[in-house]
Amino acid sequence: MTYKTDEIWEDKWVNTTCGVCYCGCGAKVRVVNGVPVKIEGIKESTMGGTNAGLCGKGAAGLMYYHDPNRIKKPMLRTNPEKGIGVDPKWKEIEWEEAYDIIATKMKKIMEDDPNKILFTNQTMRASDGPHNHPYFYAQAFGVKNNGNFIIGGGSLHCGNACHMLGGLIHGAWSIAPDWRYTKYVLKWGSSKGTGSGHSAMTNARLRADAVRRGIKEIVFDPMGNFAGGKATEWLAILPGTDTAVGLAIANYIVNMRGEMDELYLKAKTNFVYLIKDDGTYMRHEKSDKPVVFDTKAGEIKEYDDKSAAWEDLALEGEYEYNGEKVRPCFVPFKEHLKQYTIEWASEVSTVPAAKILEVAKGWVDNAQIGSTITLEGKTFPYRPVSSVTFRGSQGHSNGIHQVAAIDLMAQLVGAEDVPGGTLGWPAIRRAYPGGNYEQTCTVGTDGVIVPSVFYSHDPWPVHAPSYPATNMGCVDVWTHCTLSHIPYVEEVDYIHEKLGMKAKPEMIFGISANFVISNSDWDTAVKNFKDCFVVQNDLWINETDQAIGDLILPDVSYLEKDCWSSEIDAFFFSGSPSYEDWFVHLQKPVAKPIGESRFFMDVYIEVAHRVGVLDKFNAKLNDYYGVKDPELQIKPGEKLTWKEIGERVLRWVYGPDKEKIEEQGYATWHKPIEDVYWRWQIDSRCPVYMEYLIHDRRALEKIFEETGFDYQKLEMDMNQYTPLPTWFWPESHKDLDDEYDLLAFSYRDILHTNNTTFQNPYVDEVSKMCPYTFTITLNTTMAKERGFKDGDIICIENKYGVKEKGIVKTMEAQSPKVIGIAGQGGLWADGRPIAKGKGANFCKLLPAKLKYFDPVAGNMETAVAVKIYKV
Amino acid sequence: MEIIGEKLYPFKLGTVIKCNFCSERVDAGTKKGLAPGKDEEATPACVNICPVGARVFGDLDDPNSEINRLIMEKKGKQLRKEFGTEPAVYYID
Repeated sequence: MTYKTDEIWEDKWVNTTCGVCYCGCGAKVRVVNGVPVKIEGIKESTMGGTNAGLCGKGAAGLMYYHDPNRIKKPMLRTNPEKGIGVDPKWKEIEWEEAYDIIATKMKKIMEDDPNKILFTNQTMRASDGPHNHPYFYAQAFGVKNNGNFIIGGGSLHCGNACHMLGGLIHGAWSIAPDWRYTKYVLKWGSSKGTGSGHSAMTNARLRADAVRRGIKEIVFDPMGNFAGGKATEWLAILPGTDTAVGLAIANYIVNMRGEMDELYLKAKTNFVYLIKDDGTYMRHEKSDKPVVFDTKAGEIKEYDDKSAAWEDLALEGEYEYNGEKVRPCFVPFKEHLKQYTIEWASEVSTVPAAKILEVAKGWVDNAQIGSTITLEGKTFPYRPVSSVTFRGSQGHSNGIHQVAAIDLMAQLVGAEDVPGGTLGWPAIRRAYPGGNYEQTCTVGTDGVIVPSVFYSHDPWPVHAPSYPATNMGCVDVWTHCTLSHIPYVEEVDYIHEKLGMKAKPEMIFGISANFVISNSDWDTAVKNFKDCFVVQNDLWINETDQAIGDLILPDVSYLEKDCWSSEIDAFFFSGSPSYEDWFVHLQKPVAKPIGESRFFMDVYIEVAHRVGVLDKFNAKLNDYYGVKDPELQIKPGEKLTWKEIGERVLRWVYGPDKEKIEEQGYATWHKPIEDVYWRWQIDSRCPVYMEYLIHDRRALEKIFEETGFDYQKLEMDMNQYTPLPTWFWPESHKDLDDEYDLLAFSYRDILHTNNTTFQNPYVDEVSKMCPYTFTITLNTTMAKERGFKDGDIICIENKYGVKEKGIVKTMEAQSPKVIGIAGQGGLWADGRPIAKGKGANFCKLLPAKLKYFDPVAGNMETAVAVKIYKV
Repeated sequence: MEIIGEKLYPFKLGTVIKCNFCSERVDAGTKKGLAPGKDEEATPACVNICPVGARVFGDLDDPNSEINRLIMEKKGKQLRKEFGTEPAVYYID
């Protein structure tokens, strides 16, 4: 309905991109007299729910604009004392003064060592701002890789292990089931399709259609809420024990049932590569390529020798090469699996053995090994089973093995990037017709895929660990980290000292990360970062800003932002993972900036200009978009706004259609079906046998010996550097005893995007109606036995004396051995009065010692042994 | 818009109201000759906006309507129909 009166001179809808989480759904905003008044989805777009539906958070996004608590001028701390509970005594200053302070400090640091600057980023901000640019902005300062990044939001709870294997297996950031064609889905600690995760509403829509079609969906999760509550079957599992069930299912497939997609294993995995007794590849004497045995020819050949047919490659047997005994790595793998019986997995995970067996059978029965499907005139292998995971299962000290085990069952039946199976986000983005920007993955060393885009250093080829460390995150040593855990850990000084990282952090610069309260133990975070000069671009003064921030710059919300780049480079992250056509949305300013707020990219440009690194940043932009047209390249000495840069990049990316796309707010073009189901189109192999970890282990042990880094004292488990997906107890389980007898875990409440949305009054109102968002859940029977009831205020305490209070809510659908806390409540920043005091904070309960982090991928153990008692 | 809202819902804060399936919207739409459940303008807002298409709206009095077909096919259940209020909301699996 439109109401025209004399007072209304403008009433329009503007197409933009939702910026409330990282999914980037298409959104249109109704603007009356310059004021955004309503948000809906864009009907035509594949980026969103059914009938263009946004989720509740997206519809509530208006409050980013209307919140009177937003900061409107740069805020400078005047109280030199920092810490939680200390008033920073903010003073409003002018932008010129703010730039001056930043540039002066940065220039001084740059003369010394740029690695003294840490950069922040925010997972929540992904769709809400350029995705990759903050990373190569940091590079313009001379910072290498991702070693100097700290993040808030999803933080290290999020996907280090998932991204590592997502990159190595799928050439993509993450995975989703092929909802259109699948029949049987296993979800492990993941809400894909039920309201959160990447492409949340796109997946929700696709899943809803799949459910109506009659798929079976089995959810392994400690609680039966968003994912489990809607599944065909929810199976309660203890946090961090998914590996056990995954390996038992793999054992069933390989050793009990013996039904595998052998052609897939021979053609698409490294299981046929011959290894020596020490587990490393036997390499060809001339080419150094891994070798395989051609059973037909009876001889050893390079893995990519076209004279050997895939079906003739040996998965079993023992051979000899240059006098040395070799065997396919499938042989030890098969043997290794035998120890993982279903009964054992049941004991570890608490999932009934009969259920594990049922799921294992269901998996193989539904895999339809050998079947094919013809789509758009092209024939593909058809494997309608999918096993997906994300934050829940991988957020453990054994994260890499959790993800590897969950992926393994799909490998064994060949259900990877084929119709019905598990899909990575499309690894390939073809250029827009008439445009220029195309991203395709390549095939790297040993036949492993190299993703076209990745946030951190490429997961492949693996960087050999080296020292001295050259950045705060020591990613020279922990080479598989998407983002490093080292800056957060308690032992950071010892680690830096031993590994030769000389520079101490002096400054933090970035975007609204809440890294003090959203990672682990708050006191450690304050200790590690308080001596830095902390500058953040933010909408509000958040908890981190209040505790340790020095200068907070008012940023614009997504409703005031001209972010042409919002989705161009994010195809591998938040495009539609399915066969649906491409929809790439621009982010348009639908209203004028609030107060004196400025888009952080323009602030970044100004700072780079003053520090003298703008030319380097611009060169990286030219390079990133592959701009070849000299007219469109940014030239040395040019200082453009982000919008002006967009004028050139959009012309390069969309060619003559630039104006049309800007006008409609999105670009759409056909996605060829073979770009989605690319597995058999690209001659690559999955490194299921993680041979590189053997080399990493050797290199690390050498480094540790030479540097005197006592990894044993720090209890860093080097055994996890093993090529075979293996069971390791998560650190939280090792802490369980008679007193600390419960495992606390957190989950993503679909109402919220980390803690940012806690400040949204609309979302807050709905959260108050939800029995779970602001409470701590206990299994009903367990609560009764221990004398707790709904509404009781309890204290949760970990082994290190860290406590958090919360309100009890009992629920039947939860394992009796765990307690659940939604998201990241327990907030206290004065700058966010609606969020303040809501819910309980889970993150502070997580100890920040090195042993609680995955020694390979660096993700955090996100379960913790606790005791609970009434207050 | 606030003025329109006050006319439609002339209540004080705290007044209990019941869903009327956006009757004013459906009425306005049907007056234009649009079909409830098919045309958005004659369909409740929650049905239009549901991001997973979980809700279906239509004419129960029309034996050939999509909604009646779904109720038959999916064995739609009413809550507490023994009270004789003839609930018009059906739940399907």
